[in-house]
Amino acid sequence: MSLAPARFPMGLSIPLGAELAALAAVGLLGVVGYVVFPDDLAFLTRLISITLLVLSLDLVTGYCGVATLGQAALFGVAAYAAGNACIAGLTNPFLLLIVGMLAGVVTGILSGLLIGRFRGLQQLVLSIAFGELVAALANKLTPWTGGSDGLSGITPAPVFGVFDFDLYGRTPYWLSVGTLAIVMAALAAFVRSPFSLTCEAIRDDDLRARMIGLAVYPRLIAMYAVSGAVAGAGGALTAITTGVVGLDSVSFERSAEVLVMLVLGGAGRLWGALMGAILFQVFEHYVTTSNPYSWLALVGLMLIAIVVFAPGGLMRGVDLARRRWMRRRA
Amino acid sequence: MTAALRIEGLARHFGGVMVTNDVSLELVSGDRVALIGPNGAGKTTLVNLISGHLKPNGGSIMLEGRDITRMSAARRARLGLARTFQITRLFHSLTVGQNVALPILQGRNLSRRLLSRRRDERAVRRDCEALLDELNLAEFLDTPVRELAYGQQRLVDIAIGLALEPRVLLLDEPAAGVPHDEAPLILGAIARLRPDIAVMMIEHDMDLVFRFAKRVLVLAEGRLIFAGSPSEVAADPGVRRAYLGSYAHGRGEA
Repeated sequence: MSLAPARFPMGLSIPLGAELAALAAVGLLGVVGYVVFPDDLAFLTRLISITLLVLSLDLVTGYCGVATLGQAALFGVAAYAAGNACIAGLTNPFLLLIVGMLAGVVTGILSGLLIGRFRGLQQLVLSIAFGELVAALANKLTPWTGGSDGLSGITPAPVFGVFDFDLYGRTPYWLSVGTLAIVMAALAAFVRSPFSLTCEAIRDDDLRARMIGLAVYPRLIAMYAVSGAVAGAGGALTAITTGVVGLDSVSFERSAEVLVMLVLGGAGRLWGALMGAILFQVFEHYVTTSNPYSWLALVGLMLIAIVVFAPGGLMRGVDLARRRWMRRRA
Repeated sequence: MTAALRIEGLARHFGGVMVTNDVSLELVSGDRVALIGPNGAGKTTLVNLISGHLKPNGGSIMLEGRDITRMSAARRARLGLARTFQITRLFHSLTVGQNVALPILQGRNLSRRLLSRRRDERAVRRDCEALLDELNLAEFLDTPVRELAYGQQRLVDIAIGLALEPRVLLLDEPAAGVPHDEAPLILGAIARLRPDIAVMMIEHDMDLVFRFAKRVLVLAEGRLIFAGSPSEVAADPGVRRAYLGSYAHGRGEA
């Protein structure tokens, strides 16, 4: 039920159904992760912050059709902002999350102002330029970023004043699961809003969207702001849970990698972004440890297989299978 | 009475070619006007200039007494100017209901809401159903628009135009490319347009023009060369010459 594409106007539906389903599903995934990989909580925690970045990318790329290879900027700036706030004495993890989200919103709006005016290749190139600019700044502004050494010494206070960021990594893990669950539930409501529907219309045909009275540019910037909040939550989580922020969080590779995860799972779908992010990172984690020499080649082969056999991403494949199954039952 | 749409001295050139040459016309509320002319006469360019898709090099466009010449296409649409396209342009990944819900949301100032309210959702859905019902499309409310036959897609395009509740509706060859057996659907939809809307339709099919229009405007080489009732147009030698001339010209070039 929850996996069905949420469509406006939906007619009959369970109130808060999609939102509660998102909360429950992420919570369940969190429990499964905890039980199956008890020794890999640090990996799962990292996975969750990257998953938030993939979700944020889905909002601009999947829902608005913006081609971007600079999304990591939103994530990285937020991570540095939360890290610096923590070092400056603001140690409450929830306040740090808010700081990261605000930093993400500001970076998102700047990014949207720059690349929202353009389409296609120009947009892609500008997004790369924006990402590189932020990466270059991160490298130069050593007082706030630590340059290539990274920003370290981030020690947040215990969550709720009780749960320490200990060596077992349980606190950061559950903090991350909780954040992801809340973000997923909020986004489940958001993507079926009138505003999101207009973004999908702009993605499908921006000229036609103008002809029904939609102002395209302000809407893209607004979506970038929301996207920045989500990416910012991910960035802040990395800073809080690992205690360090490196240049990799603003890197081009990070931007490219999350785009691959999104395409893998299925752009334009929240669950696609979530599944793509989880599967890619779990696959990468196992293949790198079992086959450290040719793991990239294996990732490449997997991607080719997905693009050839399920061009709309994994979620599209799930949809088609479900449809076929329902037709057979009918 | 203020004209629904008044165009004065509108001009547009591409390079050295005058595609729209000093065109003036006026539509009043309830007008049913056909815009005809040989291929390349500049009919679609004229619609593009009015809708704001193209900017004119000269002249002015007034919508209900308000100068819209310099406004963006989106603002013109918000002020009550709607158009359809010669080649159907729909939001192809969305359902029929969503395609029609978008202009309804826009018209009610709900399109900026970041969260959906169930009350609004139900009201919008009801209105989508009512509108689609008029066009015999009610059963497709939740069908992805790309799964419809082409004639039905043209109807959805018209439905989007209607859902904007425009004062002026510009239809760019609504029956073009529609299979013969589906054409009556389009005709029926056009016949049922609200009587107070001013409608201007580009059309080649004289049969359809005769049934629809009270007035016919003839465009040739960017100029309005004739205006009159359908039967006057059919009888006019100048109009004949314009059509024949362009055909002879076209053949000469080939």
